[in-house]
Amino acid sequence: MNRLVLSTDWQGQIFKFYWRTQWRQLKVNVNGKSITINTWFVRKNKPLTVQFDELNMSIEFKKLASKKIALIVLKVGGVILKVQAIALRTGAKISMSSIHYSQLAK
Amino acid sequence: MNQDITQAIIDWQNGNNSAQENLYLLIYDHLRKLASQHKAKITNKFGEQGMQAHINSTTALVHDIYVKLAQGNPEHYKNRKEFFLMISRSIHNILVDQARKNNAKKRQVELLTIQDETDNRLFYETLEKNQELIDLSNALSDMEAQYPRQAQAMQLKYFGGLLTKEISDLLTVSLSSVEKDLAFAKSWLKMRLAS
Repeated sequence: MNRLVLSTDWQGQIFKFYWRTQWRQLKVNVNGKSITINTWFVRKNKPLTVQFDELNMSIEFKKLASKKIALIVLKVGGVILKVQAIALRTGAKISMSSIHYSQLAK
Repeated sequence: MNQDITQAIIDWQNGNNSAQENLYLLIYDHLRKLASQHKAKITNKFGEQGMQAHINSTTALVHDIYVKLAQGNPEHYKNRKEFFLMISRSIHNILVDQARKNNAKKRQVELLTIQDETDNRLFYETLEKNQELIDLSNALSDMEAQYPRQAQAMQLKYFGGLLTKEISDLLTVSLSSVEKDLAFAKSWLKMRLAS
């Protein structure tokens, strides 16, 4: 099942992120073009980074230290633009205020 | 949460670069709420057109705040109080900078085009509203020089979006003192802006 977990419009570039629960894949749609990122091999707190050089943007996928949560971070020129935490098993959105420093820092 | 923020600031000061990003992630929801509140305030005051000119979107405002945070020196934030004051000031400065830019652009347009009466009225209304924001900023700076605690309470409340209880914790003063400070700051600003 594809679940829309994050979407944003930045200076005319439309980003949509879908989480595919069954395959643990992140499908990213940028201005109508799609790429699929496999995440099953990503280790806790060793983020996977995908660069979009022509847009000066990057996507970081980071599994947190506990509770089977991942962070999707969209960056512009290395600076965070938008963040979303999701439950890996269901793709449900998780509020960032429920994330603790210990989960991020480990 | 509060301990998390304090720990992140300490780690950042100790040279841990990832702590800065983690700090931003910890306050991300709070920042988005703040940005959204300010966007709504601007829409109420300046109308939809004014909001477009001031803040393109919540995401853009939050991004701007993070850029300011990333450029900042961690040694300037000794504790949570200083950090939240910096956030409050950043939001305020972004809005005031935008108002100044709008005024500058509008003045250029005035020199270049001949407008009819209706256009002129709208133009002067927008100019006046932008000027109000700049006047408020100047008044707040004066207040900070004369009454620093009251000005800090005001900034934390209206630009930092903190509750009175949170402000009393941060400024280490009683709840009633914060309430008095806020009341004083409001009347002082009203008097100053009216004069």
